Amino acid sequence: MVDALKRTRSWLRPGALLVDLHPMAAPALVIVGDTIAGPIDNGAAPARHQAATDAIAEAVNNGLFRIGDTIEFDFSTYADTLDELQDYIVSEWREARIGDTTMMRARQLGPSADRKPRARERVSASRLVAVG
Amino acid sequence: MAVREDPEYNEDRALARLIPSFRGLRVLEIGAGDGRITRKFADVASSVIAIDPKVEDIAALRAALPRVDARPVGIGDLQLTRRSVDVAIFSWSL
Repeated sequence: MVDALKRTRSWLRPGALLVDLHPMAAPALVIVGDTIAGPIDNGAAPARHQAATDAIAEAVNNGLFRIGDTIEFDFSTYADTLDELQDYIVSEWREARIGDTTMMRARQLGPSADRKPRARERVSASRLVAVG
Repeated sequence: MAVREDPEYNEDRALARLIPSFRGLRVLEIGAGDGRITRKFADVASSVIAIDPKVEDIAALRAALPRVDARPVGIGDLQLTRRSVDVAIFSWSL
């Protein structure tokens, strides 16, 4: 990941910007209404996301970039039903699924048209400035 | 299937805070996928190069946003001129 940042730095003019968006290491959650049903099983994703955070820090420490701004936000994916949400996660996310415990709890929470189930990820967004 | 991503537009707001305007900028997007984020700036940027190793996603992006230079490659295979980019974006891809 640091190599990717180094390579990208070579394409940026001095003072140009790099924006990084990546999910944070905390597990994504299934939520029904305002209630958390449980975490999504997404394998090695938390470790990958932590590695991305570490790579940014290393690139800054190595003097390739300086931090301009960093914010966090929630990114939610809504489906009409839990089965639709499961199908979407399995097909679109890498090595992820709603596990049995979370799925059972989510069903108990009674998703409906007014309380659609969603997957919520916490995302880090940073603006870095190319140094030199 | 009716799946909606980020109907609260939190990602849009975050991107707008980090880059208030893409107007006139030369943008490189890494991990562009089918162009979910590319759409937010493709019309105003001076130029956009969008890369992703998934051939089918790049085909979809190219069809939706024909003025974008969409390339089915990973960052390791991308060849660009040094110091030719104003903004690079890693779209959930680092």
